[in-house]
Amino acid sequence: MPRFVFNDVGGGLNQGQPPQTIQDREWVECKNFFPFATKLRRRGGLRRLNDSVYSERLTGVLAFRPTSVDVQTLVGGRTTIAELDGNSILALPPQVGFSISDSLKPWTAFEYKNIAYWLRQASNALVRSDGTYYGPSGIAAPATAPTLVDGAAGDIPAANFYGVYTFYNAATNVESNPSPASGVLAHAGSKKINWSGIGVSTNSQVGARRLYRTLPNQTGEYYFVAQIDNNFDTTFTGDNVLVQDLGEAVSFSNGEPPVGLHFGTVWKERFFASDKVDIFYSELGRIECFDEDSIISVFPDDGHEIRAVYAYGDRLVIGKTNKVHYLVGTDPDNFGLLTLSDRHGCAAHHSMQSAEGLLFWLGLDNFYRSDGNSVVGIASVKLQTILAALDPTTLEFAVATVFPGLNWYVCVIPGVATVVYNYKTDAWTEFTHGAELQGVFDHFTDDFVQDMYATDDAGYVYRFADSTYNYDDDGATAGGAISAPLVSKPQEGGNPAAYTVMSRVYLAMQAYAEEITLSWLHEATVLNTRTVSLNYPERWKTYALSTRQGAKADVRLKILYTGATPIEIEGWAVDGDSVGRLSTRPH
Amino acid sequence: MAISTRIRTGTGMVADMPPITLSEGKLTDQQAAYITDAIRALIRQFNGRISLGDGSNSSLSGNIDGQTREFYFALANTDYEVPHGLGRAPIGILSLDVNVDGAVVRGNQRGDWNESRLFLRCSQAGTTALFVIV
Repeated sequence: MPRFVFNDVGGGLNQGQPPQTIQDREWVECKNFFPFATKLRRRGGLRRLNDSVYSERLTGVLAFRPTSVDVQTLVGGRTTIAELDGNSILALPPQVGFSISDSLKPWTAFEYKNIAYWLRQASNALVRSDGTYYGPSGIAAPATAPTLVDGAAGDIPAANFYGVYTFYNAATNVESNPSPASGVLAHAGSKKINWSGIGVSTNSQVGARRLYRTLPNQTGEYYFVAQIDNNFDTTFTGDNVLVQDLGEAVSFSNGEPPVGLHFGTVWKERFFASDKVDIFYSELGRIECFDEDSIISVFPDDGHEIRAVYAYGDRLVIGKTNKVHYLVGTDPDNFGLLTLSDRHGCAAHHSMQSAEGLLFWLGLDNFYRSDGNSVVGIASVKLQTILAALDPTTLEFAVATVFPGLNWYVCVIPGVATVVYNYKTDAWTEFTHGAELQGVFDHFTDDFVQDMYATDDAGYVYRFADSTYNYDDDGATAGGAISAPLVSKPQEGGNPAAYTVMSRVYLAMQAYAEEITLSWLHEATVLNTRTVSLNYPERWKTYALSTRQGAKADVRLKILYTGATPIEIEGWAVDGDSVGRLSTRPH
Repeated sequence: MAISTRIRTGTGMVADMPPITLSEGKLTDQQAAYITDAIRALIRQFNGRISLGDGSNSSLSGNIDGQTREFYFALANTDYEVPHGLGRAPIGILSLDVNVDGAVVRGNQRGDWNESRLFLRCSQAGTTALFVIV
């Protein structure tokens, strides 16, 4: 009886290709195994990290690591920002008077200058947190003007002067726009200048105020005089700063972040965010400060939405629902908008990721990959069934991350599927979980080792595909078995359309103290099934599994593994022989 | 020392272009289009569109390595310190607009010009002048 041997089983999932053209290394069903070189390996478990359920659905995770401090895992809920502390999730306190609007949408979270920033559709503008509280980003300009009067004897020559002041965060260099200008001070000369009426800020990030004054007899431009290193003094006495000692000119580009932003990213030391119509960008190095003119229109009249903003090397990729564009340049003077794809739009901001020069995203009908020049669809065939189930209304909230250690692009499409793409071998697989995952997020340990965290609908955080854990937790239920099925391409015994009798199945793998279930399927019918031991030392393990009693022309091997050990399948083989009789009468 | 920063308004600027990475030693159609567009933009800009900026105070003076300043000279023939953001000692000024019949000149402190300030004076008191520091 001929033996058909498959030493390469790492082709992954292929749902859409017809049996006669599907590769031997591919599988028509592949769940919870992932291709690893030419092998298949059972994935790691889904380890629950908080013992008690958090009160809200969690839709964002950030590994927050201020300088020289261990990683603090922050999570974003519907109305709160919280901290994963040990095995508990504890809500951070909001700044007095600040609250986050309720939303189920995924958070964009990132760290910049020791501050964690959070942004989400249908929520507040940019939210900031130092890990102990959360509140609004940006600093509103002072509403009241200062007063300048002549002071004691000094060096400032006679001239007219005007003054303004700003609110300032010395830790992050975030500064407000200036206050209204003072009334004119007709300085008598040879005196100092005394300031009063300097307002205080209600924003808790403000720890200083900065005073600016015009050059003698000039208007409209103010230069740094002094800094008050607190947020309570309302006077400054003895300003004796001459022109040559004045500092930097005040900026009028320090407005608060625009409202209505949905998502964004930091690129070239600026924060770029979108309200789905335009791109807004911050001042250089001050990501909470926005000039009112810092807007880039991206074909706003084409009837489509911006769905993604992603920093991709020298480019800022802007994904719209109809096309994908990108921005180049270093500052507003030379920003240039170009088009990467005029066909393959982007559906979800959080699906756009990159690794090793490749960019990935989820479109409305397919996953796409680009090397920066050309764009190719990568899943229309292999994930045909999954893609057919996509709901355009929820597609927008797919969340992905990249795990370079295994060459994975992982995408959670809530309510549809969690798919994993090996970008080195162009192979897909599907991960299934009992928990209703809402997203998977990049995370790293204190030693900068990357791992992935996932969140669910119920209020739990998990370590995703945890190679040290062999079970799937599901909310309050821990330790569930991981069910990992594989279904081969149809086996034809070298004689398509003819009945084939299968007699033995061989699995190439190490010995494991586990069992596995082998079945021959024809359509939805199980022709024969056995649960067998893997605990044999021989690399090729032989199992009798015959279809002699019900030979068919189209049979598929199903392998179902539910054990704890993360097994690897290195190959398989089958003894099968065509009996020569066609499966249907010729018509 | 008062520090002026050149405000970048974008007037007269030409957009950047993406880095070009050859694919198997060849340009793609898309890359060739980028290069063509970039060269054409330069040609259009050079042919009669070299700009001195939008004239706003402290702004980068268009395609010129300079800074536009508006300055009020309260007294005649008195040196005034003018901050600038060139980051180098200026060569001089290009006068754009003066609101009275007065001349803006370098005064007596030419030797004190440096990377952040220069000294100018005007022959008429109460003069507001618009000039480009180059």
